Amino acid sequence: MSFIEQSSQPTARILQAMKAQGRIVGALMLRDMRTRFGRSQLSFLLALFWPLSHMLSLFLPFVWFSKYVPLGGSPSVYIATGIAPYILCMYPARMVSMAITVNHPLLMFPIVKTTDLILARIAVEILGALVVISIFVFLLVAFEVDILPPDPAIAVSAIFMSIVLGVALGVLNVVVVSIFKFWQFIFMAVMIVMWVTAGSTTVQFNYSEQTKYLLSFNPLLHLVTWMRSAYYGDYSAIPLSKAYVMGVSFGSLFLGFAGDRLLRGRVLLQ
Amino acid sequence: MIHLKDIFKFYTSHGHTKIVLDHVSMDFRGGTNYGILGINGAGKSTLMRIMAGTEMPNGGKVRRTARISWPLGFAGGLHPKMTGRENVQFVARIYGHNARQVLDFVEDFAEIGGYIDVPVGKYSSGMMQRLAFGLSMAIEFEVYLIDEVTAVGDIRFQRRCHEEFERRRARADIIMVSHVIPTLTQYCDRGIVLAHGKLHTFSTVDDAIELYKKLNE
Repeated sequence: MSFIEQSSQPTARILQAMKAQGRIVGALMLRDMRTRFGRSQLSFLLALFWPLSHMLSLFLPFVWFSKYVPLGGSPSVYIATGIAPYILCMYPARMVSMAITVNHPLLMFPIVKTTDLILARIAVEILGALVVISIFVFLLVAFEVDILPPDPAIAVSAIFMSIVLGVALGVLNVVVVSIFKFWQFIFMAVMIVMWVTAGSTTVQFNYSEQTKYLLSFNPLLHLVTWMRSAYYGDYSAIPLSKAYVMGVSFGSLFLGFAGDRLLRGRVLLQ
Repeated sequence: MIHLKDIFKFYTSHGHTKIVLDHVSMDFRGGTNYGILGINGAGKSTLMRIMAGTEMPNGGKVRRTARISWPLGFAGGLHPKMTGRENVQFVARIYGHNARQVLDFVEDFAEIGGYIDVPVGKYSSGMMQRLAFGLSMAIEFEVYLIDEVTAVGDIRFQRRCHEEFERRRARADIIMVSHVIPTLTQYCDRGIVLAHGKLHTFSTVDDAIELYKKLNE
């Protein structure tokens, strides 16, 4: 006797499996949003206060002390376009990387797989990042900062890729953490180095060619350049490579999900 | 139902490697209830987790063709900050059940009254067990995995657990790990002894108990 009505058609079976996974991921998302910060209906919004306040705590002092900026006439726009890719990348990376460790007891339900936990966390983080950037832009507009770019499509694509890079690094970290327990700390140090060398508050015009070459491996630098190209056109001291950002992002995503599949035994033991 | 093929599982701790399942193959067939025996540390719970899919073997393949439960009465998946109601609704959702119906069943079965709207982190261990057991009974499975626990709470509640479990057995199979011989003989048709990484299967539970007793001597 079977409690599950299964279709004999392969296509119908795949659709059935996708529907079931959608249902599980949806339930996990609701649970994650409700329990992220305390246990209120507003838990998810309260949790967003953290990246938003981080963004503002970087933005306000830099703007306050910036008498002039290398590009354009507005320190606010220059600093905001340097900080946003960092925050939109770092928080999803950190939170997705904890997808298994914080939800490990749920894996005792045989129907819940590690992939479901990762996908649910990804969806929540994308949603959260979009809310954070929307509030940030709203605040800037409210304080009469001319933040709306001449080329919105480029800015939106830069925001999108910042989140994708964060999510992708997070998925890869899920697997790496299962092998190297201290990777979370190393990764945070790597993120800080990426932030410092991303040119968020400076432009690397005066750097030597060798330094520029080394910096060009920092995907965050390309994202900042990508974002600013929506405001300042082709200004970059280091040539913008969108292909490199996409390569690192989708490569990490592929390696992360492949690792989850191939090393599931280790991932389950986290 | 559950097919194990050449399953190899080991743990490494403090430089020592312990083989828990040594290239084990076995078919757990539908319509049969299995009782698994073994001395402490033999790897019975590991075997259950591998069958459920919550732990991976180091080698071999597990094929499942039935809907398998989580370990009966397991409360670890309940979020302490969420109320009993929210936890039940979450589990109902992931299993594609009607949340209202599952909640009605659990409220009636667990008899925790108004505590259903209290975060489960504030429950006493007894209340938590009642909720977890009720939830296990509220979701329909084809195979129930039982690791030691078949009933919880006071005598009256234990009787309800057994009655509900008997009803469930009429349309589902069980795979049970227990040291309690009467429980195994009551619920299981076939016996399996896990010893030294190998599964020794018997057509009756009594034969398995004989070997188990010898292992304990």
